[in-house]
Amino acid sequence: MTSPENSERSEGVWDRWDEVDGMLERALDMPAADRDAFLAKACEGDPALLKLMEDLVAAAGHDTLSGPGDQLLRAAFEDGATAPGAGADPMIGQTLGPYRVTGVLGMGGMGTVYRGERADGTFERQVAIKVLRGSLLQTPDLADRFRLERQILASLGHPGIAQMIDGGMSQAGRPYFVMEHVEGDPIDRFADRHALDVDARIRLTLKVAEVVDYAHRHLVVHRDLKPGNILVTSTGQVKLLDFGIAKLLEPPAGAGSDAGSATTRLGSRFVTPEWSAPEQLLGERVSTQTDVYSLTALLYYLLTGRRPYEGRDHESILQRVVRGEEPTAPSAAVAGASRPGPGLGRPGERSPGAGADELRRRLAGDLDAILLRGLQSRPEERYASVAAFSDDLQRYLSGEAVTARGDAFLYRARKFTRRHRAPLAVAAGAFLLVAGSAVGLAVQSARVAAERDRAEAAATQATQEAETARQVTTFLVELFQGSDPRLADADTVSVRGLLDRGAARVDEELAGQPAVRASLLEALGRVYLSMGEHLQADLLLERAIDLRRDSLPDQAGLAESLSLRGIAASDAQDTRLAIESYREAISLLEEDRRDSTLAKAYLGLGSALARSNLPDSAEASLRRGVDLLNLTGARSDAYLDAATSLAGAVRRRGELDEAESLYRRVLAGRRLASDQNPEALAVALNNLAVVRRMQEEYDEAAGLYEEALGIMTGILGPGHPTSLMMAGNMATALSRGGHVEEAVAVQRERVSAARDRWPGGHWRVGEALMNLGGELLVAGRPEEAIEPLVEALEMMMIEIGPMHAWTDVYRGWLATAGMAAGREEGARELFDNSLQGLATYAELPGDGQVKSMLLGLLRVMDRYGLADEAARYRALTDLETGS
Amino acid sequence: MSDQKGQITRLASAWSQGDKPAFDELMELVYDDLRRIAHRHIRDGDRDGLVDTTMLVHEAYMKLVHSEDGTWESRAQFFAFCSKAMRRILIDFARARLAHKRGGGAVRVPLRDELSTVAAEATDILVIEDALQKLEARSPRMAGVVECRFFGGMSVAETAEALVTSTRTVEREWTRARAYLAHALGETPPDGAPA
Repeated sequence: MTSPENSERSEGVWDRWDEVDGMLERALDMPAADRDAFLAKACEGDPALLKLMEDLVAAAGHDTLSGPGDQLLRAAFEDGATAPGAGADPMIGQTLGPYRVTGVLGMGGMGTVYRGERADGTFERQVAIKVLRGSLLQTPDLADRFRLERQILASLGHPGIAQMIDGGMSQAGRPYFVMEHVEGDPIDRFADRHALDVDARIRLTLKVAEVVDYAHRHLVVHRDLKPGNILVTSTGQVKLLDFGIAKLLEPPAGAGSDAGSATTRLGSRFVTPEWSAPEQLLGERVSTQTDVYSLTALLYYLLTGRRPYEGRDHESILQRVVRGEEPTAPSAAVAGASRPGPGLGRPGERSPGAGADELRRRLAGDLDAILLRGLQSRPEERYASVAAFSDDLQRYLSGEAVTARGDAFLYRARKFTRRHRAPLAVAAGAFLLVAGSAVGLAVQSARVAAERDRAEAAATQATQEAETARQVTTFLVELFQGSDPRLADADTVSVRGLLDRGAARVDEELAGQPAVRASLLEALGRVYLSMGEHLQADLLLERAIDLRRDSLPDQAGLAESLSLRGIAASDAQDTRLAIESYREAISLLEEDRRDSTLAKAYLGLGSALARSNLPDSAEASLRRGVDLLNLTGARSDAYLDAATSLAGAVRRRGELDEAESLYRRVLAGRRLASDQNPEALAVALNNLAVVRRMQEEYDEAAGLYEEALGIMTGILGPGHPTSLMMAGNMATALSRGGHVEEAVAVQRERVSAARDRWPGGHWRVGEALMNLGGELLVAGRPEEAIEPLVEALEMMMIEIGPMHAWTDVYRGWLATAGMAAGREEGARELFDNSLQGLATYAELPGDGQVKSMLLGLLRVMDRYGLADEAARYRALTDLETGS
Repeated sequence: MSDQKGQITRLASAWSQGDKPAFDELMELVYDDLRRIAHRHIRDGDRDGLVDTTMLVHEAYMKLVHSEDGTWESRAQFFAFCSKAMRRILIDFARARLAHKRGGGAVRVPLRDELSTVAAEATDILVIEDALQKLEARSPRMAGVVECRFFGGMSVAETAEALVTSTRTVEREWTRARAYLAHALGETPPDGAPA
């Protein structure tokens, strides 16, 4: 539900999109430690913006929407009240033992967590109460075991463990736990927020390990260690939640041999697959080694931003584990990490590539060895205990040799290289492609430039350009072959890496040759652009622009680079820069009208202005682009597309006559190319028809729709939704033009086309029937209207449900026909049902579709003099008299 | 069935060549199938088992496309399409339920199976849709990333392939898109993370 509060909350984002999104992108690119200063400076004098940006940065680090939506889906498809709203939850206000439930804190796979307080007011302490989903523990045996385990858990007294206070069964038989209410951040978020470096992240993990080790010594295994269960308070205290709870939900270990399969299912049901040890996924025996695995997975995540097995579902992770596939070595996982990696204590470092490289070097070797050891599939191959894992990490921190790095690791490292040889070869191939296209582009732009300047100094220029192109090629080939030994390092080869290196070398090696440098920078910029790396592209194009500005007299070349940066800036959502770039390009090109670069710059500027919510300037610019294209190639698709957007803008502004003339021009163009693109012709016909209908030229509109419909039917068949839409439009135009009987005939055809298309019934058939009934009412034949309207209502009740708002509108239609045909009693009841339904439809004010359906209904009600009923419908909405 | 597969392939091919109406028709075919698959999983399946969109989409792929000669340019593209369908299914369902409840409030759903990071106020589909539409108007690709990642459960690599962009772009845009949606949802960092 879109509450006003929520919409207001985000208004700032949407109103100031370009500014906000550009700033957010930049903020997220930099090390977390630099963000506050950056935002403070960027938002100087605008506290509202600063607050918004801070919220957004916090929200970005907050992993809310990461799930595959399984909960969402479940809630959507399950009937009944399994997805309680915060306000509607029946638990709130209830007492569980000595505690009263006061609110919802969160929901998860096991159940819902409520906020609670002591009902008897003995002391003020706030608690968290976790109520498990019902029906899981319904056997007496389980209930007993539950009580026993709870006592063991309650006996764990460590400041790093969220204290279990109480527990029991609710009156409905649902088990619940009362726990210490902890305020803190999930550990991954804490690490990111404080920009902890590699060592600090390891030390934080050691604190967690110490707590887990304590519990192991008390014979309790956590079983579900993951960032969400490990909080860090503002004082830096680590707090582990949900200790041992997963176990409470499993049958006892020795529950008989035939319980094996049940254990498998239950055992894996409550844990989160990405963090689970293989034995948990396989339903095998869980031990302290299980926590060793999860703890290692946690550190892996904290250091790389990735989970050992990137995969969403249980199945795929399980398959990889069963196949004995090892996790990617952490140092290799860093490359594409989705989270900001550990800060490396170099806040000035801006280049993302360099940060990742350094991190990769830190991880390669000892840390790879430690983490892979802890993540072995077979528990006996991991560290023998959490303490042993901690000891090895301590050795790493103090620079001693770690135990994990033995022959076994060398073996694994070799195995890794072998396994990755094929992808590396692919990467090399991809680079050749990219390099090839960069050369192609450079040569092409050289050719364009050569053509442009043919009039002057043709010979010299061509030689120069050819030389430029040759040097570009040589440069790229050298870059790929790589004299640098680091390029031979298999793990680090990537297209992206090569491009980065290429960009860096341009300045070093080509200092004396501005023309080559500019072309090369532009070519690399295009490649980055095609890879979606618009910021990087922007950086390179900026340098190409500076070079051209400073040292080259080539105005057209400069304009080309500027237009290109316009595209990059648009892609990067930096509309202001895009507008600036296009404007400057235009100012340089104004003289030279033959150049399609100018037209494209105008069209680019137009769409950038439209996004900045400047419709008037946008229109002027689009118009200029259209005019220019009209000169150079009035029949080109680019021109027709641009003219179509312009016409749309003009029509929305209400300038129907001008929109009409533009659409007519487009139509003429589309007719010429109708063989190649009949569908575009149909769209053009439809667009013009829409304007003509608005101009109340119904006959012409109907004729245009008819032609469009003929084309679409030929391509797609009469039952296609687009054909049906056009037929509906055509019928409306006929009806408005006074050709009611013809409209009825079209509606009948429409019904049979829809029936053929969906013989088993479909809401579109219902909609066609409703329109036929409506048209019969307009034609003054209410008796005939009743039959299709009854069928329409029945179809809607089946297809979209009896309580749907649309169904309520259909009830209104049938009721109107009933009144008009003199069958009052039944009709009145239908009206009441319809109105009652709509009265409780909270979305009605914002639901344009339902409102326009009601508008059509009201028009017919007015025709039959049903003033009282019409007034009741009008009272529900802000609808004025049907026009 | 095989007839339907043929039709899907034909439409897919038309769509990938820029045939917009084919998209609608394709959506109708895939939509109904996805709905049925999802319903079956929840009604006949283990109600406490995992239902995830990745699985749904994979099953739809097996059912609808597999064994065809593969006119889809890639599996990822089909998944992206299914993600769009999932989005519609969820929105339609939320609307229907809203109407059903007769003003009884929104369909509120938790977004993550991780207790401490789901804020106290559970969020709901229609707020996401509302925000997503706004996002779509400003950055269609970012909205595409949300469709693939959130509604389709697609991996970063699959999403990048489907949207013909780099994994890095997908990751960066996903991070920002999440921030906007979370912000629109009124999501605040948990001040009292539950046990």
